[in-house]
Amino acid sequence: MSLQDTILALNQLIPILGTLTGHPQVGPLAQQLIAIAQGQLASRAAASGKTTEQILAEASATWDKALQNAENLRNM
Amino acid sequence: MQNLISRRGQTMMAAVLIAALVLLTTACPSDNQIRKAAKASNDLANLTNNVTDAVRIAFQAGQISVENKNKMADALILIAKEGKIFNDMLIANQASAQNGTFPPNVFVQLSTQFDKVVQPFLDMATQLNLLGPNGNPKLAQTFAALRAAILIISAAFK
Repeated sequence: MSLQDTILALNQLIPILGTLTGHPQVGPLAQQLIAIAQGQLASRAAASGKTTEQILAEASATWDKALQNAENLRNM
Repeated sequence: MQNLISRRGQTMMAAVLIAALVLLTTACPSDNQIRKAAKASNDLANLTNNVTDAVRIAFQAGQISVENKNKMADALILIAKEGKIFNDMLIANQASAQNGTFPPNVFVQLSTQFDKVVQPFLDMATQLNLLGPNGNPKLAQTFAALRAAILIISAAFK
């Protein structure tokens, strides 16, 4: 997928996600689903301008954070 | 009528989410193997954090039991540990890649480790779907969408 295609896709999706965010039938988990999609949008857009080394370094830090968050969830 | 609207809304939401994830997790065809793998690692690390947040919120809202929260937390801990190993392997083997492509023996090792990250995600999704009518349909729907995303991320790397 080219950068232009990605931007086009983002432009089409974000208004739909925004509409769903305000929908009264959308509960807490659905809001999380939307947040996941939005997070993936941001992650993908951010990764497109980085070198492979930068992506790997970022992933390393994110895996550390993921482990810490999961352990915190276990101890709740 | 209310149920009908709700169901339609949920179906639409799931369709949009899956479409978004399909678009976003499809690797750029011009990316070389090592870059695809790096992006897959980064995507999965972010997804792990997102799932952890979703489970925490569901638990705090009383939508899942302590037992299910703990099962999912254990799976997420395993995913994070295996994911970190996968990422460390990518960093360690970067120098062995020729024109962005790993030697076949290294690729087999990476692929095996990648499966160790993906499999717990799929198991978690399957387990939640097996909860059936007494389970939480929204949570099951969440993981069904995530399962689709995982499979797409996997396909992008392999």
